[in-house]
Amino acid sequence: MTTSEEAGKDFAQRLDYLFKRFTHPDGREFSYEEVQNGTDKAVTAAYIWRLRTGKAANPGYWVIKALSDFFGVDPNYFFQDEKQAVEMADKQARTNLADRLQNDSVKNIALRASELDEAGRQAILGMIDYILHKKTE
Amino acid sequence: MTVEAKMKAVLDELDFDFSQFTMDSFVDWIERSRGRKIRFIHWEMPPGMFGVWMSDADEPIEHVFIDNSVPPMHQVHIQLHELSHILCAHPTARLSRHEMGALLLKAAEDPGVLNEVLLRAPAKKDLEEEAEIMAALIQHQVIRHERLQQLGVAASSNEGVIDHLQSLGLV
Repeated sequence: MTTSEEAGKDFAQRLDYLFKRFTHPDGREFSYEEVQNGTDKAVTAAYIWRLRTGKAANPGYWVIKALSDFFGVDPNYFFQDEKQAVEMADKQARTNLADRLQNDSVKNIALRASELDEAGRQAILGMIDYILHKKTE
Repeated sequence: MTVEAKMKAVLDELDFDFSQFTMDSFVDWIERSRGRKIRFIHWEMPPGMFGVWMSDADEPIEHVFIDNSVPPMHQVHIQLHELSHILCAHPTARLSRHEMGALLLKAAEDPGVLNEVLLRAPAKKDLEEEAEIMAALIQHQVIRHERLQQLGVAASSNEGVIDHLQSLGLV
């Protein structure tokens, strides 16, 4: 199985990139069973595993369509060159994140200011950066 | 029920012995009652921002940022105010590390994303009022039990704060 963080050029790498880029809100990857169920069994878990690991290649149109729909990318993702494919996937992932945060029941940072100006935004981003990078004791 | 009565009920339910109040023991008590660690980070805030509370979705931690540019006693008030939000289980952003990273990436190219995504807060005024009243109730308890000096200790390890409070006749 590929461990590349890149989208690569063969189908296995492209699929692997989707699994890594589109995850559960907590960062867990979707399981093959979840994808199987999410595609109304258009693709079986075993087949997804074979595709991702490169043991199977050249899936048919409906399989590509089902996987694209599941991850929310255009089927063309699989046929672009690598740079374009990464851009497509990243753009979609950011949109998903924005939607999720917006729909989340716990969505508002407890701020005294109702609207952030530039300084406020920078401060919040600095705090998020701090949480991410400072080790908790 | 008035807001005061509601807040008093929440504080009563916490069942903390204010005769033994120290800021550390109070925070410790809340941590144990809520099963979450509370981490205070002193931070240089822009004007108009005093405290920010973010909840960690990956680990049981509440991150509370407190303005370090205001006088120490004001910092203590901000600390109690944010603790009050936690006590009242008010909504706040609960973000996973993954979401935080993605948010930083997105904000780099679209600075408006924080306003659009995070700050559509309904009825914030009510939550702020609750937190302020709760902070005041806590302070009343502290004063009633003659533990005000402990707030001075919490305000700063700087002896000058205690001197200042003494000069004001507060401790």
